[in-house]
Amino acid sequence: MKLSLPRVIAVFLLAIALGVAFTFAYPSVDIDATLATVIVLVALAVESLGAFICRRVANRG
Amino acid sequence: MRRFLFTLALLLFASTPAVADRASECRRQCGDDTACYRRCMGYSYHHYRRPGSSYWGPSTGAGEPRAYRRGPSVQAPSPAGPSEPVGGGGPAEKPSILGTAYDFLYEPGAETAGYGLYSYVILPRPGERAIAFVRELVGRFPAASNVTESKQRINILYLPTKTGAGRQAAFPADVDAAAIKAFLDKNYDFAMAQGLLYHLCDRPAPAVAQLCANDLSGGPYLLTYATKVSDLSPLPPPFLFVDLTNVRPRAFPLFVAEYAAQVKRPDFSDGERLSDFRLQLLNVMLTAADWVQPVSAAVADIAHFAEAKKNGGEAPK
Repeated sequence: MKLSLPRVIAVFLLAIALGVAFTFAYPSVDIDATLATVIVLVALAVESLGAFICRRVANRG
Repeated sequence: MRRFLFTLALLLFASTPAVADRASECRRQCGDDTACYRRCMGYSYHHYRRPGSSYWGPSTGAGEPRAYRRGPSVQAPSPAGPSEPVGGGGPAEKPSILGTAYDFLYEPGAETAGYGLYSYVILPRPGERAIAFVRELVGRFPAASNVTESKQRINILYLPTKTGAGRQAAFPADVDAAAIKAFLDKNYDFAMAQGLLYHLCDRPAPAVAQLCANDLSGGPYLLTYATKVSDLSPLPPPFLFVDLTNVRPRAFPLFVAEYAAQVKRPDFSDGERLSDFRLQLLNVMLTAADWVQPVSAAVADIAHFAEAKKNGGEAPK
């Protein structure tokens, strides 16, 4: 998987958004290093899935 | 498409500081009160489900806390008295529960009569999970001796306690883990707790039959009933039995909060609040976080960094 700079930035922003959403949903749960890792992994997965879907849509178009 | 995504990401990024400020302000005002926090933040969480349905269907374990409820074919007997062991009682006849308080149960059948609901903290064995759970309970709920409200409006949460230890004093709200550990090691009556599980599994209701077929060594468990049950066997439905075997200790505060809200519902045994998608998602996230922890620890063991000694600010040659 090739991670270009825009994709890295997208993962970064998505991870921040997920972290903020988590804080809203669970205000009493602190985000520690392991939880942050999980959030980044989720962001990476979401970004990869999004990129895959975009590529499929572009190929069909 | 790419531009749209980037614009969306930038908008999210730009709005983050303002929202985070508001979140911290709301957290400061509301503390652990989730409902207050949601009101402050201007959003609320709704349940979109049909009555009687569940997000997860029948409870099957695997990372999911289980709240068992009454079987639909069982007729709830009419309540003859608040402490008479005649069954669960109907939800409509009783005044609503205002809160939960904890007390110590020194022998089976010694519960104080007159409470709205009777709950039992069932810990099969001591350990870190048990300590975290009891600490959360006694930190969140007041002792029964400190509650002035009518007993009919209170869900009493009993901790089985050995009689030989004398009267156990109430814990302070900010009790430390060492005091809880000492209580569990010396005073908590694991035999009585096991007896409560046996009552539950003596001719068990269909909802708990699967649980009773297991070794019952997980936990912690919470059992809530409309009357006292420590000397009642078997235990006819309706009851609320919360199995936190698969719940991470870090998620205990949220589950206990939802349990406190659940017992305030007109039908305390329906388990609606405890089968909430939000709780399940948190548990999955925390489980994943626990899986990640050994990986990061292993990487830390593999990768060792040594800094060069600084000799008067000169770079090593």
